[in-house]
Amino acid sequence: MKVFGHPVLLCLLALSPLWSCGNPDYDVSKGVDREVTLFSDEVGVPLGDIAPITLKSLFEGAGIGSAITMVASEDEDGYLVIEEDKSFYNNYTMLLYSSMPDPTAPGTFAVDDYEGTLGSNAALLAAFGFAMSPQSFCLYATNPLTEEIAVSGKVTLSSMELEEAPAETLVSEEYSALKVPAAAQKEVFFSVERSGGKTFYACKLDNMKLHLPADMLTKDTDGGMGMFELGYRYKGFAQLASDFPAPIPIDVNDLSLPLAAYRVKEARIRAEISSEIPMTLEISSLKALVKQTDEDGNTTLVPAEGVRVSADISVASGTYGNPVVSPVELLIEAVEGTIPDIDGLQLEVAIKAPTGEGDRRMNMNETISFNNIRTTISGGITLQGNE
Amino acid sequence: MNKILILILAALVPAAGIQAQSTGNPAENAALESGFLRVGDFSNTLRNNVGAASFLFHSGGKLVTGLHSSISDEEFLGGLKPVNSLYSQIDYNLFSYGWKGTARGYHTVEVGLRTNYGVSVPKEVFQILKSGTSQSPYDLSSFRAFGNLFAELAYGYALPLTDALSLGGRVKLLAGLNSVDITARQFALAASEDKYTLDIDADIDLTNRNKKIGVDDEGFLDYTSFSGKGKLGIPSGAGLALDFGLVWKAFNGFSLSASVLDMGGILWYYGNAGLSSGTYTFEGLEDLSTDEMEQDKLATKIKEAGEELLRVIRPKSLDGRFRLKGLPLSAKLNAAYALPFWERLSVDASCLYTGYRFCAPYWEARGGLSLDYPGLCSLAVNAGGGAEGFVYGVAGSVDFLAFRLYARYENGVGGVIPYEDIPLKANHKLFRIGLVYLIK
Repeated sequence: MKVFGHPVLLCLLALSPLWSCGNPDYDVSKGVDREVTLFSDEVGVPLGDIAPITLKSLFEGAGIGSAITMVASEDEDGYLVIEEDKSFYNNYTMLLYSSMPDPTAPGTFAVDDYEGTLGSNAALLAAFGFAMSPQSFCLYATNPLTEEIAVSGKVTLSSMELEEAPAETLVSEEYSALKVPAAAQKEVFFSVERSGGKTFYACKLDNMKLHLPADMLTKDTDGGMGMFELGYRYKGFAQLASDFPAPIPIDVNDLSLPLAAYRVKEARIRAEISSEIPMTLEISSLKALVKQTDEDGNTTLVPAEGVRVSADISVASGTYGNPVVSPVELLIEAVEGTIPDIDGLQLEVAIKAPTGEGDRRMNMNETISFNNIRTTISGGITLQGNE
Repeated sequence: MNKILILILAALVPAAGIQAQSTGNPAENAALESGFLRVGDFSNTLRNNVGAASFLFHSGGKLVTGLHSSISDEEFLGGLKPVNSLYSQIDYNLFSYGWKGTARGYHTVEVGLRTNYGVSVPKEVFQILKSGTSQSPYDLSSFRAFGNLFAELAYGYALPLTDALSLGGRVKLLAGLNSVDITARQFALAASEDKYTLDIDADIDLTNRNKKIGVDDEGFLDYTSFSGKGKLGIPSGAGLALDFGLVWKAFNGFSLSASVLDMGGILWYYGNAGLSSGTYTFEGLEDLSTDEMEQDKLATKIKEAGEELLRVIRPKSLDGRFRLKGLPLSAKLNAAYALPFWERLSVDASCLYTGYRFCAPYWEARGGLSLDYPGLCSLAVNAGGGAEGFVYGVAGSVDFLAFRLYARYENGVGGVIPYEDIPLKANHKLFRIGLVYLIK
């Protein structure tokens, strides 16, 4: 019975398994709060690149594509231009022949003076700071004869008359006996080109004379039914010459970012924007919108309180084929607590004249790319687990 | 008197037996004078270097996980180890027979089964989840998962060289039944807001004793289809392991037992072998057009990115291969001194070292007391510290007629989750019970 002589030791031995008994403080059967906050310091996530977006698709995406094409057109190289092609005089050889005092001798025929408009739509664009540059004006003629003719006259090109700026004569040139080759079809015999300056708006064609050869009928392969034609062409390339008069407000009403459930405190989005578009774009104001329901149950979007949205977004102007890269950053942070659901954005975009040198013509094929878009979320992302 | 009896029984029920008829140090059998027949020995070992309390916390009167916002980074991550491991081993000795040879040696033969499994997760995984990616890059190559099942056929021989010194050895033929092993040589993650880069070079090896995993058109292992039988049938591996030990009774009452166990391994045939290899870089969704900014199209893009990732992670099927996998190697040292004024009571000191290929080694050192009444019972208690903190153990045996029932129980402190038995702290836990028929 000596083995029973050490009751204290045996008691300890008997009790020892109790040390591994369940700890009621950790009774998971009573439930564990499964809410987790991940990445509480910060986590960076690359979001990707948005492929080059052409100016054309940008306009269309913004819903102003059709408006643009009503005002201006796209030439064969994609440039946004305003063009005018006006045939202002047409006459048959036979009629000219019969109107000449002595058709057997060379003679001069006076064409009626003409006044017309050129880039009438340019005035609409000018209201937004667009100018036509470079712009060109030319006179052309069609000669149905087998012998050359000549044309003389005076061209006056003037700007548009505005309240604060009366019409200004921009070009006034006389030309004398400019030759038009035999059988020429819309042969340009006079042209003017300007870079910068005001937009040509009106043209006035004075003292135009056709210097015709003798015996025209014998030199008309159509037997007198050949047609003389005089006309002009105007082409102006649109470019932003001065800042838009006011920022453009843009409301994004269908955003629906369900951020509240994730209890995010701060999200920073960065990217490099590569732009060929010859205009500077700046976000001048940016507000997050949240839904608010009034007593009648009507829902409206109102600026979110407690959320600060700051944007350092200034997209520098580039030129076609020579994009300029601008780093941009958007910060959404909760002033207090966490960021709520964001249902919309209210922003204002200031469009400014391009800076730097280079071709500033607007080309519908110019692109803007959003590269290396990435986000850094600070303060964690909270997920509610199911109990 | 009755209380004392109850206490004794209470101590013995979960307790473990003293190592007579040893399955540990083979040299200890040299002292046996008669034969034995072991008719069953079950042992379950569980080691974890982190406990549930490293993942569950009290906050605001409730239990929360370490990822809860009320738990600081330091509070959660500070309680984790660089490599967080769980290891479990079950040994089932089906049959052992020992007999005294015609010479001085003692022979044993043993047949048993062993299964073990383990998983290791690097701290960086939790660091990313808790803190984010600011500490990038991350080395996740310590991630590991494995499991093995094999049979043992052992022959042991113990020889008393002198009255003071005995040597013993055991050779174990191992028959591999099933094995799975996921090992990463390279598993690196670099994460920034610009890009994520995953560089992986990992093997997955699975024996195909019964079925072979299918292979899809692109050569990836397809876990949804199985076909045919494995090339080797049963077993899937073969191996050899050796145990060595000595017992040195330096002077009267003092004995030193030293052993090295499980030196060896199994050459497995992994009929289902796969390799995950490559570098995946995610720099966001590329070349999104404005048309694709709609939710469903974005989801398609994200799915495509996920498929690219899977092409790197999913294991490519390889030809079946042989792999030599070592057993966890253990070294044990035990010193006992029978008190001169009462020789039935011994003072013990022991230490144990077990090395693993996949995680930090386990070690412990203990001191204890043993009470031995040959032919009646024995009782031992010990306590100490080690890799998983404080450990204690009780062991005992009861002789009844020609049978000896023995049991051992080892544990740490810290408790468990109620009803779940998941330890709250880093822990070493062992439960062993066996029955021996003593041949007189």
